[in-house]
Amino acid sequence: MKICGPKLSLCGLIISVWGIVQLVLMGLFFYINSVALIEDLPLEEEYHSLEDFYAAANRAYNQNAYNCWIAACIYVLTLLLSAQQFYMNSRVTAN
Amino acid sequence: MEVILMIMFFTSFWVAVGKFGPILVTKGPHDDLVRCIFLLTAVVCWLFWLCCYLAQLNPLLGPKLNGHTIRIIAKSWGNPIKDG
Amino acid sequence: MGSLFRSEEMALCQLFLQSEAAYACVSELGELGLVQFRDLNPDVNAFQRKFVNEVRRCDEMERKLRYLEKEIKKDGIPMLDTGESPEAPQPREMIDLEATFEKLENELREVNQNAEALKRNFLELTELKHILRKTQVFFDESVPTVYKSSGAYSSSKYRRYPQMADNQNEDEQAQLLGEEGVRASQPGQNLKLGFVAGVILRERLPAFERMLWRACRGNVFLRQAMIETPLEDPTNGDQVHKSVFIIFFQGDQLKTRVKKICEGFRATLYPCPEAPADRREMAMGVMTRIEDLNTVLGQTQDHRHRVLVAAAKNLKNWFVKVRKIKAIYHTLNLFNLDVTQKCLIAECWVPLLDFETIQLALRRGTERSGSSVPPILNRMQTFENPPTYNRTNKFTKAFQALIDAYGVASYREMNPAPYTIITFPFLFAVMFGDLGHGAIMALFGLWMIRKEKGLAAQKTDNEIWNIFFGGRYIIFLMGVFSMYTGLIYNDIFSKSLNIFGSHWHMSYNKSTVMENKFLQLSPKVDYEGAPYPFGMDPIWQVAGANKIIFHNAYKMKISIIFGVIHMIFGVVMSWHNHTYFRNRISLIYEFIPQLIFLLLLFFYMVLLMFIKWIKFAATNEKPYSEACAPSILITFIDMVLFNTPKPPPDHCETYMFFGQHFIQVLFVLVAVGCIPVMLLAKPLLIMQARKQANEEVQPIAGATSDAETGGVSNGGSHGGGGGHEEEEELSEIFIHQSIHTIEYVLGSVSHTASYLRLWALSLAHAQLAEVLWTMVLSIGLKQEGPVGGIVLTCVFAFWAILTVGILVLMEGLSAFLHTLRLHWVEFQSKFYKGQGYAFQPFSFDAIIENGAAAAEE
Repeated sequence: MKICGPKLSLCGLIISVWGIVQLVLMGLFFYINSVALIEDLPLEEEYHSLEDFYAAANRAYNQNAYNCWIAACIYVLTLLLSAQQFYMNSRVTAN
Repeated sequence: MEVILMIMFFTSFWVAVGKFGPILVTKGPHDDLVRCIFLLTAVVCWLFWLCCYLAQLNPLLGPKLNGHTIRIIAKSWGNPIKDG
Repeated sequence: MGSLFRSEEMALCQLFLQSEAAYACVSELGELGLVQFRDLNPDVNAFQRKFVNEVRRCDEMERKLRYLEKEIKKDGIPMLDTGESPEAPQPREMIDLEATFEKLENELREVNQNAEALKRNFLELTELKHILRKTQVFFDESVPTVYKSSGAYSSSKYRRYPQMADNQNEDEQAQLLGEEGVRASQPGQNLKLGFVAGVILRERLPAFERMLWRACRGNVFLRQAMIETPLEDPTNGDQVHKSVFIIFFQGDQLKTRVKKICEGFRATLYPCPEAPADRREMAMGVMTRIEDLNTVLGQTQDHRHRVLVAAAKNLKNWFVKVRKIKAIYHTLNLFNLDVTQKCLIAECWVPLLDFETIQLALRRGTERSGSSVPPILNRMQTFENPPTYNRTNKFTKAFQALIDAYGVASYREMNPAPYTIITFPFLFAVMFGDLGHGAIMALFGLWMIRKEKGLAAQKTDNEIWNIFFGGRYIIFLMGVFSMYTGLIYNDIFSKSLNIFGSHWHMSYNKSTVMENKFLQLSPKVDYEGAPYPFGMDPIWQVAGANKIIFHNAYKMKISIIFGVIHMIFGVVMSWHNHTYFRNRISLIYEFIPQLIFLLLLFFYMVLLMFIKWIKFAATNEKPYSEACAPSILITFIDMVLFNTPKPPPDHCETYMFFGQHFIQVLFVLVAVGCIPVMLLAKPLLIMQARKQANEEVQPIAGATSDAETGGVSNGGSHGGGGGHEEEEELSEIFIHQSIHTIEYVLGSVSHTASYLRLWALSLAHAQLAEVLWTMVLSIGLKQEGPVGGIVLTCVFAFWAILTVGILVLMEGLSAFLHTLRLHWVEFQSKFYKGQGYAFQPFSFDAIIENGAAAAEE
């Protein structure tokens, strides 16, 4: 079954590979509480105590790590899809 | 001391690249060109690193961080906040 | 030396070729592609040359081949392109080729003519078929349908007199004539109505109808019906829509008028029998004839196809052959005939290194032609400027193209291309520094390099793609260097990597941290004492409040440092030029003051920057503490303008080191003193030398002084000259020198400032990357709950596309253009003349490529 053309499937292929690599790595960095990614956490402005803050930050870090990995998994799916499309397209042009 | 060691390390690294890099390339009619390329690469990369290193050697101002960042740094980079 | 640093040494040679060996020798030289022939009969026009007939025959063959190619393309037959290039055929083979092409062309033309005639016939028959079919319907129709006829004018007439029309029901003709005809004639008397039937283009029909109505004052009646299937026009093969019409009228006068109108509208009329039985019979006949025609047409097409398929196999090959023959005769036309008519004389530019190769090729050519006398290749003495020839390979070609786009180097001038191979990607990377973006660019370049052969084989007309592909090595190197500078800037998609552990620590206590929204780390207490070993400390990326202040100070300084060094490098290159051309005057009175000027003013500023970095620290006591650090720019401005510096803050010192004031005054005075030297020394010396020469040897004054002072760079272009001309030249030298000096002095100021674009673009790039991250990707990351992953997927794709589109492509293009400018203007203006002309060897490869490209268009 052919859904998209050769260019779109190639584009999907590239973005999927890039997405998988970058999102897996970013998930890892969130998981180890990377300081560089602090600005991307959904945190409140103020916390009452240090412990509250750490708990919230920890939660947010883990949450983001899982979100990144989920997105990476979705990209694995799109990778498979676009790879199949790409294969179909290349076979059509080869014939 | 650490500063001098670092500078010596990187300097000798780039000297090595500039001097022995051309060995990696198989001999051909463009030996001069290859030598020139490696030499220039070594010079610019070394100087670029050196400038960055020296610019940070004696900082005149410190980074200004917001509260969240400070707290995370304390936790992640292993220098816990003192009580009090 | 075959290196890229200077263009190749060239020699003007004279070539004596035996008439019968000339063709084979030139053919060998064309395969080699190392010889540039000069036109020895520039005042003979193209039609009076020796081999004009042969060239004309080749043109004719090429035309035939193009005709064949067009026909092959029309039928969509694939052409075999082996990519190999057959040798130029012998002159006697030309006749065979001509015969073959002649035969093919004639055959094809005949087939085409037959096919066209058959098709016209077919069209006529089809139209007739349609007419018979449609008119049958008209004749069969009964009265009421006539009233609803589609003709606008007739129907409106009918509607005006409905009752009167209703009364008419006598016979077919009377009904069709309408009420007017019946009114005009005597009742009960039958009228003889004539009609014509034909076919017309559908879009002409409304105008045709109106014309008929007006010209015949409404006394005709027109019926029409569309032919649903489009018909093929035999002349150009287009699909056209047509309509059948039938016109009824009364009397001969109207008949001629109607026929004229039909002619005017290019409607084709067909005979249509009046009796229904005849019509039916005719229709049958037409059908059988159409079928016969179809079979004949099919056979013709088959034949044409066979001929074309056979031709398609050899077409590319033939093209190459014919183009080679044509190129050879074209070249032979440039040669001179010897008085004895026995041999041809050619003049050509030859790279000295390839002298042997060329002679070998000539010998091969002689052997092939079976001639006994070997060709003679003689070096000639010349005063002309030889062409510039830089031997490039696939790697250096693109870099050389960047330089040649500015101007082809003068003969044997220092070629900036080998240095550009590194400095270009590096300066680009200073502006584009980002590990992520650099990696994308490098991967793209690497992919093109790895797939080089495959990509080069599939030639496309896509200009943008060809530019990218031609510059694949530049793109790859730019990407790699951007990755390096990205690592130093510690930027990967605007985030930082903490590889070695930050060298800043935090020593605030709990209450301070909880109470303050922002806290600044102290460089005295919180800094380890040694910087992060490789690149920027990752702490600066999260220091949103004063990151830009720190980065600006750093990036501005490095752009000036690299800019000044780049310019000094350029000036040093001019030293190589002066020593090579033995231009002592320029060396001493131009190069040295230029270098001193640059070093004492601008390199001194660079040194001040390093001194400031090393000497001033937060941990130091005053006068070398952070509060006392002076601004380099202000210091520099004060130095040049001899201003008294502003009094420093308490316990600080005005100057960074002992004796700075004295050194600065000295430097500025010496640098300013260099300006008159640059301005006057060279012209004055030339003037003096000429005077001396004049006194010593009066008659050949012009020649000697020119040779001595004009240097090799423009030497020989005009030999001796009279006294008057010399005077003029001297004033020209003065003007030239003053322009050059002003350009240099003002230039070094403005060029230094121009290098600040390195800072500006790198800042812009970093900020844009950060904005894209926080405005786009951050939205996806900040989603809470389980839908976050799905939102992130979409946002990431969007972010990725924007990253490639804006940051890599657009920013990359802008950084590329700025780098190009820095090389062309700031760097090359220091030493590069670029007044040469390129070596254009006679080469079959180039000719065939160009021929193919021209044919594509």
